[in-house]
This record gives sequence, C-alpha cells and structure tokens, in this order.
Amino acid sequence: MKNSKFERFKDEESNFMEQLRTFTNIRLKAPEGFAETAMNSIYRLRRTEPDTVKTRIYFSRLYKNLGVSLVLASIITVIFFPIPKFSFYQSFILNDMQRGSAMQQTSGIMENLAKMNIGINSIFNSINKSITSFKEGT
Amino acid sequence: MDIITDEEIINQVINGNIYAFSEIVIRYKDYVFNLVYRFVYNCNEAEDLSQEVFINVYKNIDKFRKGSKISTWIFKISYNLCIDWLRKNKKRNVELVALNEENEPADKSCNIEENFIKRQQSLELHGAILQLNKKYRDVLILFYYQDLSYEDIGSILDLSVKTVETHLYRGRKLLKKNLGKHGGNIDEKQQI
Repeated sequence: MKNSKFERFKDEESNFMEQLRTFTNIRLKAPEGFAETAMNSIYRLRRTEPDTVKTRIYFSRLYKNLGVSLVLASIITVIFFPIPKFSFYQSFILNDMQRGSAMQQTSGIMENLAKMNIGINSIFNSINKSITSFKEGT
Repeated sequence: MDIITDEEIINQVINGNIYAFSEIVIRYKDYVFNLVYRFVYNCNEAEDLSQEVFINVYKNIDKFRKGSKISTWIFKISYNLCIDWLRKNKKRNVELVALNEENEPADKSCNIEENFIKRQQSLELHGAILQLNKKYRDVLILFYYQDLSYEDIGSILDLSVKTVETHLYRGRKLLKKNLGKHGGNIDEKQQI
C-alpha cells in the first residue's frame, strides 16, 4: 500500500514514463532505395559544382591566413605608426602659420618613420610569409 | 575486419573521395529519416527533407569540427532543416497521417486488432507531442523517438543539460495533462 502522496505521484510518473517509452520505441526506417537517390543527388551536385568542398576549404584557409596577416599588419601599424595630430585635411583649413607647423610635424613624423626602418615593406613581408606558409601547407 | 570510423570517412570525402560519402548515408539514413519524420509527420516530406539533410552534410563537411560526434552534427543539421520546414508550413494543420505499413513494423506478439489499436495510440501520442510548445516538443522528440542523451540533445538545441532536463520534465507533465484527465494514461485516453 502506498502510504505517501509523494510515492503515489512517483508511481504515476514512472508509469507514464514507461508508457511513453512503449509508444515511442518504434524506429522508422528510410524507404527502399533512399541511399541511392541521396547519393545520385550528391553526384549531380558534384557535376554541377565540381569539387565544391575542396575549393571552399582552399578559400577558407586563404581567407584565414589573410585575416591573420591583416590583424598583424594592423597591430604593427598601430604600434609603430601613430596617427599624426594634424591630418592633411586639417592643414588646409588652418591658417598659414598653423598649416606650416602642421606640415612640419607631419614631415617630421615621416622622417622618423623612415629612420625606424619599419615601413610598409615589413607588412608586405609578413603577408608574403603567411601566403608562402599556406602554400607549403603548414 | 577493421571498421572504418566516421572521421576517416570524412577525411576521405574532404580529400575528394565522394564515394566514401555513401557510407555516411548508409550509416545514418534511418536515424535521420526517423528524426525528420517525427517533426514533419509526413512520409514523402520526410524522405525529401532527409535527402536534403545529406546534401547539406556533404556541402558543409569541411565545417565539421574534428573531435565532436558526427551523429550529433548530422542531427543538428536535420533539426535545423525541420525547423525551417515547419516555419514555412506554419499554417499546416497537424493531421493524423497513417504511417506506411512497411515503415511501422508490426508487433509479432500481438494480433491484428491489437496492432491496430497500438498504432492508433502511437499516432495519437505523436500528434499530442507535436501540438506542444516548441521547446518541449523538440526535447521530447529527441529524447523519446531518437533516444538521445541529455548531452546530445543539449548540443543539438544549444541548451544546457539542466535546461534539457527541465524541459523534458515540464513537457512530460504538459503532455500527460493534454492526453486526458484520467491521470494521463495513454491507454485510457484511447478507450474514451
């Protein structure tokens, strides 16, 4: 005899769960010839879009490498190429004296950059390096 | 004889051996069909959608993350396609479509009448599950019809194990309530 409400509830619950199991244990099978039809669709797809998978893998790797290079290049640019205080646009709307000092500052920065010997070439080098490593499959 | 693993097959397909993919289709066709049928409730639609599942699996095979279970990944693709299909066919009424004789294996221990009753009962139950709220319906189908673990259901539906457990519990409770006021007994419901 069930002496507590909770036990009765537990029994009811497990009874229902058991019933659910009984009525849901039918595993349906795919119709006859399903695999052949599916494979035919895939062969057809392959004919219309030859080697889709391989091409996509190639491009996804290429984009990944280019992405990494771009991020590296951006980091290098931010670290070694600080944004000038005065842009060229600003130098046009400033008066002659200010424009002179702005131009001086800009040219000074450019000189410094040339001295630092880390220019655009280094960015391109890093991109080239990653493309080469990609081609080599590393 | 060594059985080739799913990962090895995937590597072969990625390397251009399209014929290796047929092994994936053979291994998972019944599981996929069973799952898709439980959502769309129509044999022809289920067949078409299952084929679409395998085409999608082939197209996206490079996106498969190594180390994870291919079955779960295939079921996730199947589930997403089913949800898309259901969204497109929102106004469709859930009808009790009889299963194909060949699809539903008859219980050999029962006579014809018992089999008929059992079939009707499972159709009623299936219909009742499909009428439930999406979150409960999905968990119940994956757990009962597809026999998946909480973890697998969680990764297919992007839910935590705890949430899966809760949805399963609440879904069961709701189903029991919907099935009848006679303690949720499926057999009793049928006799009314």
